[in-house]
Amino acid sequence: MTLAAAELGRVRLHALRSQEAVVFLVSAVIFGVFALTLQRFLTPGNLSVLVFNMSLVGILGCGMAVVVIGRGVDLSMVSELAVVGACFVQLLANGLPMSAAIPIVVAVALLMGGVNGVVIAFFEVPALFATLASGLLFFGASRAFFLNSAVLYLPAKHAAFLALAGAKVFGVPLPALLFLGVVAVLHLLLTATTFGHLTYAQGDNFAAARNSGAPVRGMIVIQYMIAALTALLAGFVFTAASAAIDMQITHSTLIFDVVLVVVLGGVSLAGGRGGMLSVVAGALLIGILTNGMIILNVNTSVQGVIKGLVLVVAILLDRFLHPVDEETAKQGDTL
Amino acid sequence: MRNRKVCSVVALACLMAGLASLPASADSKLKSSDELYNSYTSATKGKRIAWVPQALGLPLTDGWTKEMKGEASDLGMELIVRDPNWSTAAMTQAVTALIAEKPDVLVVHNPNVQLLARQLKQAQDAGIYVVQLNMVSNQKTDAFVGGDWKNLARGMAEDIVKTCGKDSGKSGKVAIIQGELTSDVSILEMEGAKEVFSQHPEIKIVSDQAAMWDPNKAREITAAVLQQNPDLCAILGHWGPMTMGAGQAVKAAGLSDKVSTYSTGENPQMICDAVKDGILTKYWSVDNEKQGRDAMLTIKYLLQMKQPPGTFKLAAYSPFEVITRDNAGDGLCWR
Amino acid sequence: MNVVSDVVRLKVRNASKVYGGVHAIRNIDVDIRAGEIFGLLGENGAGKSTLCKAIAGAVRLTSGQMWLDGKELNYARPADALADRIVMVYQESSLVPSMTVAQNVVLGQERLVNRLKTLYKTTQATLRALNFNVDPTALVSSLGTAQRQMVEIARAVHNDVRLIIFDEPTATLTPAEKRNFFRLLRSLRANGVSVIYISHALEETLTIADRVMVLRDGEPIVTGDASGFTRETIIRHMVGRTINDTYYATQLNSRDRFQQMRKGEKKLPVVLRVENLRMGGMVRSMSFSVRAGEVTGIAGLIGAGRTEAAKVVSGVLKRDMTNGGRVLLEGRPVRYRTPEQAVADGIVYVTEDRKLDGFFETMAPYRNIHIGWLAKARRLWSPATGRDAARVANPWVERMNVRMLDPRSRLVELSGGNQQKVVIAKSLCQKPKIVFFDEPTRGVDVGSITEIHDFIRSLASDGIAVVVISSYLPEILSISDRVLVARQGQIVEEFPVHEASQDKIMNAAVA
Repeated sequence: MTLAAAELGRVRLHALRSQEAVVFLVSAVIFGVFALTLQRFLTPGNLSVLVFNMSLVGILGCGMAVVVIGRGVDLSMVSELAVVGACFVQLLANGLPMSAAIPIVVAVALLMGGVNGVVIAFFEVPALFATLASGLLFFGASRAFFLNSAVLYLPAKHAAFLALAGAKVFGVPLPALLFLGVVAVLHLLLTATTFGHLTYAQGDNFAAARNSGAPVRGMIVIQYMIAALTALLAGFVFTAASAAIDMQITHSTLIFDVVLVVVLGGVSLAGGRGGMLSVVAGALLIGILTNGMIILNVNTSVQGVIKGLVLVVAILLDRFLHPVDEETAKQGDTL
Repeated sequence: MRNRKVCSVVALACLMAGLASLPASADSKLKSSDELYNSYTSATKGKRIAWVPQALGLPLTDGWTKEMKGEASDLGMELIVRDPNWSTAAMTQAVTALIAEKPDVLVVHNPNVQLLARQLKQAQDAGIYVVQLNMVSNQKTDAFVGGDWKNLARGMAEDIVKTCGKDSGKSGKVAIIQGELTSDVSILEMEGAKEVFSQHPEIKIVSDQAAMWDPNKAREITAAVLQQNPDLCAILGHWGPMTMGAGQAVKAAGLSDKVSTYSTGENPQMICDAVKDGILTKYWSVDNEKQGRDAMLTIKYLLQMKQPPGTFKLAAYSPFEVITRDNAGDGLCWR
Repeated sequence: MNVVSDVVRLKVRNASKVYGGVHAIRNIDVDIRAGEIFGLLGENGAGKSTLCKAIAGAVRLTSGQMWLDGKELNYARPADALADRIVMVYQESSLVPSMTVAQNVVLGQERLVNRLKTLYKTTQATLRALNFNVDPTALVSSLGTAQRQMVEIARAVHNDVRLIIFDEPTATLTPAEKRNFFRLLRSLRANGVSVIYISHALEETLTIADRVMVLRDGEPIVTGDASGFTRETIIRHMVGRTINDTYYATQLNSRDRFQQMRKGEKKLPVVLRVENLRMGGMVRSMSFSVRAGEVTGIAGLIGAGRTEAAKVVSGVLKRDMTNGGRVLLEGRPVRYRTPEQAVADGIVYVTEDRKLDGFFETMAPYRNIHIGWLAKARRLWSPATGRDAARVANPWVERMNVRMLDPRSRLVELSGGNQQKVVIAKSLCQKPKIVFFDEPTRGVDVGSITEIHDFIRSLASDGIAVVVISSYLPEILSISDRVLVARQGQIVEEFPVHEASQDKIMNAAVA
């Protein structure tokens, strides 16, 4: 039996199963509940705050998803964000023009992603440890050798940069459009290029992808570089949002939120599953929940508890939709 | 408005009382000024001071460190600095390790009332003087140097009542942004503020959340709160750099002239700049360079009194200034 | 010798199990007597494992009833079955590697305080009674496969089993170990234990079993005394048709093949020469050459270093840094650090364990094949769509005759034979010059075996150099032009296929 090309369009949809759909549905339900019960939830102002806050985590989630689909994980992303953000502000404070500072921090981001990729692909250090360590390394090295302080304020003459966070296009905050842009680009990359197909293969079965002759080492380096570039973009948005960058962010639970958004939408930590739509679904649900909880004045610790519960439910859902049975279980499944 | 300069509780009186109770023989031996000088230098020279802030790289801790380091080196004392970089686990470990190293004095910057309680007692039992900076633990030790947070919060709250309360024509809505629910500063400032607000039923606290000292989280919370309460009158923050995040959200929402942003904290130049720019409206400032000097003075007294640790419970509450747009340029901040 | 009593130990009536609307087993009735060895035969996916898992409490029946010695069974989990002294020994070991043999034997029924000395003594006694040479204080992780199996059996005996189920127990055993194992089965039977025996080795089963049952598509086809069947009749029942030119009618075929070869006599060019290859302790100075247009079979026991040698040549593994030998591709020395380089040079390795490092379970068959093509093309940034996948994969799906109910289903949902065809197609769409097939028909149903063999032969006639590694001698004999025999990391013998026989190969393969 052969297959008409038209039928193949549906192949991927089928393989994705329905976790995203479930998450979208849950988001819609919660959105509806909030809209009905919270007085000023459904105002244009609040919705733009909602999508703004969602897009910060969402942009990071896109990069993380690329890595996780390749069965890796990048815990250094928030460090990367802080380092590029801080280096950027420091360079401006040192008097460099914007046009010189941007290429430099792009290079710094690529360098950090490259270090992650090389350590993981060539020295075969498990991603979990490699990126946990490299996050500390990036942070420490930048503080020791370059940055004057752990909190840096954007020089006043570069106030135009704040537009990156403050501007609105047709009423939509610019960061939300950037998020959608990243989603579109990476979605195309993952679903319509050789690199994308091989990334899914690599995450599904690393040994099989390697045996098939896929350039897995180079691909891993590229995947971590993509993650670093999204961290860079998020770093710009962060810096623009508060006109400052505080490296304390590396100690926040932000990385937890990023993993949460990614896993929640159906990008399984087992690799090879999910896609950019999963990130949008996850970011939407978490964004709506967080916004609602702030409105309801739920205190921060309880918010953490609720997000934790959501993650547990997501993992259970993942187990339910992708049951691990003897037939498909692989040995040596570590991150 | 004129500067109010209030030196609130100078508990050096305690210190005097302590000195007076010493055995007279110790003093009576000092006959010449040379002898006085010698007893001073012999008590301090070669002594080792261990200093564990929550993290270096902040104006707050860097200011303290600069002062302490300068004076210590002048006196031939050694200052050992351990930077736990916001990690409570690393902080506990650092303090435990330092106890084993037996410095003469241990200076800590508690993140919350509970964390180091046991270690601080152990340190005193091991013959180490313990000085706590800015935030006091449940375990009271030889000395505390820091702001009188409760009183500062009372001051802010009274000002808020004046601005937002009866006859002001404002809504009376206040958002509180705490640091950390279990930190000494947040606990005391909440007590102080609630004390005042409870007598003014027209003040409504519409949001009360902890941003974990993170300006970005403060920005996120504030953005959502402003959507819910566009008629918000004031924000009361517990720490300047964090509250600046909230101020950015107010500015982004275009409400700078309607919402007043209050905070307590230390006084680096960026605070005065922020007040000038209207990011912060009124700032109850504690001079942290002077605090560093107070800390060193306290240490020198403790060393000269030659009493075993735990003998005294000294305190030096710091004087404060209120910074407003009018006086922000008057050198109230350090560069 | 037949000590089988007429006492029915296990009675199964109308047993059915449905997975997602499909019957894995349907209306099975069977009686298993006390003290008999009962062979369960069938193609992969015929329902043998499902039936046995249901008996052992690992799977719940959708409908049907079971009685053990007259008591109706209703197990929720394997532990319940164990309490009734029913044990299933799986293909994958269920032992705890970090515990000693003795601890494993008593696992699940430890007292609050185990005195190690008594523990070792009783285990020793059990092992000795079974004539097993295993140290009760040894860690299971240090044991080989055969010894682990002994421990599993000792555990069953220690638990005083009434019914024991073996799933493919002899697949990994050496002939000597196999003999030992059969002796043990007979002694279990003599003790009145009922044994259910699942195997693909038909001759073996017919020799050891008292009665056999053949399943096909989840339904019982025939049950009867083992002596009443022959290999041919069993196969007929299994596949539902008679295979006239069975793939193991080797000798005649191979002679024909040789004659044909002689007729078109031309010197086949050597494309790959391996000289004194070394890798760790597994490959010790292995030398052989491979010619284009012929199938080179490598026979030998498991652990003879064949797989490792193939993996080194194809870049999956690295040879020893010093003194590692040479690999010459068309006379040019090559040393691959990754399969990527080997694939680029036209050398591919088709794995022996497709689940582990062969296929992509989440992807449809088409995408699996397409991945092979993409990996070879190595143009990371060029567009690749589902349309491309269909274009690349369709010819292969047709040529390999891959059968699937729904083309969008994930590969893991296909049968073993079709999975293997896809894995082969994934490698062959890379247009290789040299192909290593490692156990190409392991876990593949009988029908697909012939197809795969035909296909491998057709590759050779197309001028590709083919190497087949197989532990199954009839397979080696049926498709090779030249047979190499590996032993302990070296090639020790080489035959043209018309001179080779199972006896000769076995003689060379065992030390």
